[in-house]
Amino acid sequence: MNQASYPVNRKHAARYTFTSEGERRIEKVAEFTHSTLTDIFNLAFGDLLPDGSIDDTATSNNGDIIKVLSTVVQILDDFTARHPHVSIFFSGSTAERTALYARIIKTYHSSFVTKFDIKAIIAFESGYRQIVFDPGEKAEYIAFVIKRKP
Amino acid sequence: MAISMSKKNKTGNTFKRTPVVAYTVVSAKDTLFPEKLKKANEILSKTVFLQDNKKG
Repeated sequence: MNQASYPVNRKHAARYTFTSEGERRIEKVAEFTHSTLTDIFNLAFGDLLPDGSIDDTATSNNGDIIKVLSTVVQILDDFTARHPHVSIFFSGSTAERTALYARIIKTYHSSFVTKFDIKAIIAFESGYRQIVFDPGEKAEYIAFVIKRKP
Repeated sequence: MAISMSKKNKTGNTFKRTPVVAYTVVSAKDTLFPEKLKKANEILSKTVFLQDNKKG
């Protein structure tokens, strides 16, 4: 995804911040947290509010969604370069947001797959199952799991 | 990354110390996104993984 992105601060090994400068200045934070499964980290990001709390459901409408997502991709690239053996799980805070991520992955799929193995999670029976992400297929994705290629 | 070091103890014997560098991550209790992590863990616990990505 060779779009412009914001400069990023790496607060510590697993937490990154950047400032969205659209109509307003909004501090964003992205964090990788160990899940309960071995070597799978959850990626979450949201708006860092002035009181130090996080809003991960906000629709900032700051006019720079592509630049923000490009920045998150850069963060993902940096973290997985430092920890190449881990898989990264991420999903939207809403179904609409997850669908947006699916559209972004589809749009830039040919670029992403040069570096990442991309899988998705869909609903299956009473739970979920993992599938290989196919940009040509339409599916209702629950989440995505990516891993850096060796 | 482990670094091996040799050190002499009081008796003059050398022994190897291999300190383990801690893998710095955000633990569940320190996360800024507890609800997202909880949701992620719920999904992951009910996911049938492809054979090459089997974890747990």
